Amino acid sequence: MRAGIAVLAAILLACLLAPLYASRVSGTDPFRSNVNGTAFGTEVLAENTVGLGLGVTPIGPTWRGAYLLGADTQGRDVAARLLYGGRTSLLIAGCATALCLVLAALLGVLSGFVGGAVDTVLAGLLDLLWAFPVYLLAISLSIVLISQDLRIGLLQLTADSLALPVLILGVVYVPYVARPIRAQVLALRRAEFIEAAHATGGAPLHILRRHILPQIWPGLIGFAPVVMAMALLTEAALSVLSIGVQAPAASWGTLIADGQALIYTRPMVAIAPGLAVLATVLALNVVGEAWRASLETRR
Amino acid sequence: MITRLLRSVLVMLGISILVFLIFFATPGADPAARLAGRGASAEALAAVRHEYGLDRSLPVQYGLLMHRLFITGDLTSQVNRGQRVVPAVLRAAPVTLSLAAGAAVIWLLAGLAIGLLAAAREGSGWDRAVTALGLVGISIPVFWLGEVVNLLTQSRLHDSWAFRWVPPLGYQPLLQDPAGWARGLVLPWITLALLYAGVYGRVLRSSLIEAYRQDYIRTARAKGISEARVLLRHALRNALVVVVALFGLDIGALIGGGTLLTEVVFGLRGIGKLTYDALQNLDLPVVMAAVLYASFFVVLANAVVDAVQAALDPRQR
Repeated sequence: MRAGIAVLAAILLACLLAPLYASRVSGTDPFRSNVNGTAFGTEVLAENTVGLGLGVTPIGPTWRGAYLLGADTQGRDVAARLLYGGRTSLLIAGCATALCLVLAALLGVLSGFVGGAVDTVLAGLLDLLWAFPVYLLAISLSIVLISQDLRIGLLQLTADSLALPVLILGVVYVPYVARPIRAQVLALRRAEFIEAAHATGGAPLHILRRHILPQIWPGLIGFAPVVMAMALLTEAALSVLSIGVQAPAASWGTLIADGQALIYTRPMVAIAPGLAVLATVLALNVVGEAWRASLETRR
Repeated sequence: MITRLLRSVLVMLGISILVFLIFFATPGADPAARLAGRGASAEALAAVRHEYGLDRSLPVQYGLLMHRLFITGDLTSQVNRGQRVVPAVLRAAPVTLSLAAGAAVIWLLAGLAIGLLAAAREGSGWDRAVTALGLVGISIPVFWLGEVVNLLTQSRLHDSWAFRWVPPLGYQPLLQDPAGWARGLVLPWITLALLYAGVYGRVLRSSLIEAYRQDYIRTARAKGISEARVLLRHALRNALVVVVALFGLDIGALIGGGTLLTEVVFGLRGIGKLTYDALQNLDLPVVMAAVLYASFFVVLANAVVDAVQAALDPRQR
């Protein structure tokens, strides 16, 4: 668990603080092409006269301060794009996770605590979403939202807004969290100490806040790393399908997609962001696993 | 059995309504403009409105769409005018099914093998390696893994003895060329199976260990039957219930996601590649058809898995 947290913290810091130091480790601005092949006024043309001499910018990895991971075909520094792409990916996955947990907690508690017709409808909806394969739901939502700007009243979402992937990823994993929460609330409602609280005249809201929510918290938090891991992977998948993050913004997913055509000539373009996703998701899963194990021993 | 089928039908109905609402009733946007594609002329918009009955009520639109998708099958692509969508999806289905079925067989067998070994040597280095493999498997972006496999097998190392047998990317039909079919799919199969084999090994391991702690195993041993029989008839049979349940959950992720990305990276022209191309061109009728057919397939496959599970576990009958 500690190793997982350490890796996560390192990746988070490296990416989030990128604007502070990226100019020092990279050759170019992450979004500006550099086809004439200079960095900081020095020529970097000489790098790839051997081997696959395509283009004029270096093929990674190189062992100099600039272009550590080489450049893509437009001469953009892969290391810089990796760091900035990481910011996008982490931001989207983080916000989507927060949205998902809030929605799931609301729906799960509402459904389990109110019961009756409300529960029937909500539980049915959750079951339906659960049976709908996540990626297919995400594809349907994305293609519709991306093919046309959305206007609802004052709210306007353009196709290249980062809020779109956040919204989509936040929604598709709701049943994954809400169903267990609902089951937990249902079980708690029948527990003796809750019945006792009802019998002694406790108001429903008071019971909810004092007795039920504290029991829900640890499990809900335990879902955070797992949902964020899935959100990162799904964001990457949607971006590969060109319905996630839209250019010119870049995320680890779009970098992996860019790298597909370059995999034989400039392998670093795809390998580096893939490794970044792998390391981050793995660390999240390790943390999630450890949290769940600690919950189980506590019981 | 009847209730299970009925529930599957209900779920399919629900999913089709949901998809319909997403594509045709998203607030604040005009479905005709979306279906006709960017920069469509006024005539094109009018034609789409007429074709999909967009000036009529939502239930009528829904009925019309379902009729065209599942009965007449005459929904046509917006980008390749005149290309019928449903036959295209059905033509691509064998590729996707070949990929998914082969990968599932490999990961189930591999999961069984490593799970049995890990359970036999609980706490050993091998046991921990299986745990690690499971965690890494669920953390790999499958598209990226496919790219790395391609880099290893199609690039400079292609001429080495290890990868000389690897054919160029693509799909050979099973009935025309069975050997070529298998050879072309081996790497995609392994790529997909790598994601899941570790998890299945782990799940099988823990449920085997759990099963061995139960009373019925002690009873079985007390009856004097052999260890092999205890394992196969009692412990494994019970442990498999969990594996089958997990498999049911993963069919959705496999057909809806895993094969989609694997097909794209390995150039297999299945439903995933069809969907991918349609997404690039914003060809919404194709996306709708692919999504609906794929999710219906997942729902039906889940019903089958449920039946298998009930056969294995009398408590669920």
